[in-house]
Amino acid sequence: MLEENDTTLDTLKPGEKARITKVRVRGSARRKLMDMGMVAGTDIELVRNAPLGDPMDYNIKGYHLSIRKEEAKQIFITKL
Amino acid sequence: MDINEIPEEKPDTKVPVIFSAICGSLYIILGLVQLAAGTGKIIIGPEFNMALADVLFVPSDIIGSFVLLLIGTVFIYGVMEMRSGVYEGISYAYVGILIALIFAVIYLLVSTGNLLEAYLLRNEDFAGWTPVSDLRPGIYLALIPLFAYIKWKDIFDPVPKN
Amino acid sequence: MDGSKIKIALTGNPNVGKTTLFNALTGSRQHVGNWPGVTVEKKSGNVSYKNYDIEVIDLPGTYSLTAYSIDEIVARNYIIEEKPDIVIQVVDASNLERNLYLTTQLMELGSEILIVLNMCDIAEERGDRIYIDKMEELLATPVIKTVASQKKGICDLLDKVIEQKEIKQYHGHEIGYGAEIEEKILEIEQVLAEDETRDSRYPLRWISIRLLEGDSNVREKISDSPVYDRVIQIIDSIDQEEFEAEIADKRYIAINTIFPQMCTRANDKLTKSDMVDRVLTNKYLGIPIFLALMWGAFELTFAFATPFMDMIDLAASWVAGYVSSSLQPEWLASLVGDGIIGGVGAVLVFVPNIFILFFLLSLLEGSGYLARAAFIMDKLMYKIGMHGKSFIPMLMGFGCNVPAIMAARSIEDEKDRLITILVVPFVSCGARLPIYVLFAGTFFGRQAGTVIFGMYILGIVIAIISAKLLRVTVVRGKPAPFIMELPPYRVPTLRTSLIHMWDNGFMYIKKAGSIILVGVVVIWALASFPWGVEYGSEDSYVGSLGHAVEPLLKPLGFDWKISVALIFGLVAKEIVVASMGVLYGAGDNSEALTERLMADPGLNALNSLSLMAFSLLYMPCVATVGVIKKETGSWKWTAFAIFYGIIVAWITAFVIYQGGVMLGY
Repeated sequence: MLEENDTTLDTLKPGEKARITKVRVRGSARRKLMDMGMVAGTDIELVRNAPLGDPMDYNIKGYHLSIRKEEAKQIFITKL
Repeated sequence: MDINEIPEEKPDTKVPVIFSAICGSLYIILGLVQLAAGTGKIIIGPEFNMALADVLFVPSDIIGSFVLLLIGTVFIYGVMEMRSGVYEGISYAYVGILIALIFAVIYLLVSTGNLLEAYLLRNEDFAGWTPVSDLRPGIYLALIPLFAYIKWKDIFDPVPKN
Repeated sequence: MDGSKIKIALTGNPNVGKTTLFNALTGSRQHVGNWPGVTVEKKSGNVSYKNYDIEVIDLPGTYSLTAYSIDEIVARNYIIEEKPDIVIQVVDASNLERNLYLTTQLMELGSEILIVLNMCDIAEERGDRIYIDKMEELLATPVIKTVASQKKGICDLLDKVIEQKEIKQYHGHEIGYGAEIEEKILEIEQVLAEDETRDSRYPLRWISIRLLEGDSNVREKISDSPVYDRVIQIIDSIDQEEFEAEIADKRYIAINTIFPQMCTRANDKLTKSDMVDRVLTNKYLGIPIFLALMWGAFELTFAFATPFMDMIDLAASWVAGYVSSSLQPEWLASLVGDGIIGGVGAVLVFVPNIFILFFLLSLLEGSGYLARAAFIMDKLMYKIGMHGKSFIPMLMGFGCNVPAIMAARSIEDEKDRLITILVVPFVSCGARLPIYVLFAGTFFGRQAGTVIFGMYILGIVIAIISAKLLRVTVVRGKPAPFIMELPPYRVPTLRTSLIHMWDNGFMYIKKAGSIILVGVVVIWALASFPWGVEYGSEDSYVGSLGHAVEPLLKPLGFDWKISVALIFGLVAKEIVVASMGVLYGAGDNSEALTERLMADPGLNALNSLSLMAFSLLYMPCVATVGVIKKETGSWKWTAFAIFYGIIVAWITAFVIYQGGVMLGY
């Protein structure tokens, strides 16, 4: 269980899928992420990085959501 | 549901590959001619003249040459992806066509502005301007993508991802 | 039957075609303004249908109704406080799951909901299937299918609105949040109910849930209540972060249980939107394509606008000439001719730019590319303390600062937006170019091009330094997190773009125009009085003012004439050149002016360089000041922009001039 929790969303490679286990983001960003569907148990796929490497374009709940690595580092996942 | 469960054969990319290769090469060649015409004017001065540029209606516009080279590169990028077996490479043919058309429209609108300056306002800076003065590769080359776009509307329709 | 009134509110996620539906419903009969107190766009319109007078309010597009942004607060306050008869949620059929999240929140607000399923074409292209009957049954709300861009389904929608209004039956719908949370909700509800003076428009359950989610806006709302302390006690007893996650979780679980019954999603397909994204955000091609498209937008905004600008210019000078020669008495002719028409004309010439710019921005936004532009540029912008969305306004600034500042509206975060508005004036706009051309051309000969390019770079450098400086001083904090939907690409509707262009362009003329008018009249008065002196000469007030500020500007190498030209430049920076013409008695003959400038012993390469830098940076022109006031809604920030600019300009010019003198130039 502990090992699983060590993996964060920013380590995903393009095309890889994962399931969110915990959102540790603080502040107003937390609220916004949840509203956008970033809740535990949701499947997520990294589509691609921006041309300069950051932010990232994820596929979640059938749409594209883009967040920075900084936030992705605080979202824990289990790779599928 | 029913159709998608049977693994669908991906369409052949032969036609888009050939089209992209031709279109891309043309854009790159004319882009290079335009780049030469533009840099020549800067290095040698306004008296610099290229017979080839005149025949092909190539203006000495460096930024414009980058646009042509860019459109050409998009097509060629697609050729390389499709040739290496990535069906999604067809995206580059589609977007190449769209960008080529967008820039042709931009050039045509700017020309319309010049037309108004020359004939309606009779601005001195536009003395001797005729619609042919604004003809450029960015406009006439776009006829090929335009034709392709009209002819192949459905070639870019969605296919299942692998 | 006697023309009854119905009030409906349109709500929904951003990018679901809400505005298109609004335009299809109301046609051209709409009013655009701002919501009271905030710069969020407020649109309303009317439609007469079957003897009913239907008022439509377009609420800001939101993903949720929490207090994350002003948009969300505006939307939910309207629904709760104004109690529209029917709340229509526009839902993107291709993105049903996330859209339903807002539906769950609307249901908690206790309003009558009607769902409009839009953009079914995209969903169908992908092969999704939506079962509308099942959807109506599971959500217990009517569902209407429309294609707003083709005006399909509009009559069905209006019929349904009338039907709903007649039946007036409300389906209560609640999401269960599980025993632990429900217990707390109940506890808070009971405490709140004891307060007899409470605002009864707010449903108790909704307030309780919001409080448990840590909504500061709702907390503030009940802060006057006698039971406030007891409520806070309950809230403090819970692990708020846990509750927040749990509540969002439960909403999605509720959606997940019904979602599979009303929609089957096709296997992933490569859609046209995916194809476009693959190229436009490609690692190598993404940035070149972005720059090329921006260059195209720029070319259209400025090159295509030129003939229209020339026409306005011609018309304004014709009218000014006609008025000056025919109006009596003479001072009135001068006020109207030189002052008002001349000055306002100088600002009206930008109208074509602004209209085209808003049209293009609307195309970029409607197509979905604006979101990608922010996505592509975010890393770079973040490094200098700004948000990805600030890039486009900054770029537009090279053309004209006025539309650039207006374009900053797309930035949601107040601080990010404020910083963008404050630094855009340092980006060298087209109006400053004539100044560089005149002085660099006169004093730098063959190096003129390099000097002019240097001025553009100086503007960018100052903008970046200012952004960084503002972040550590008056607008503290980091740029807002980048959490953004990248909506599917689609072909923008011409009609929506035209309406957007007209609304915003007209707002510019109206709002900025009134401030500009005042500024223009003040400058005219300074240049014309005491009555009888030559317009703008040494004996006029502006001449005296020039002499008065001369000691301040002396360290920068400027004499009174330059000071006067700079004062005139406040109206519009290109006027600096025109007033140099007047002051040197050369009129608008540029060759004569060049000769006389060269002949003036008080001018040389060094102080003309200092002058160019000063003109670039000192307070923005009147039109820009007007639009800063309008967009920030604050005189304080407007004054800040002015004085900050002057100080930066003074320091920069001082360093250039004194540095040059020290180096022996």
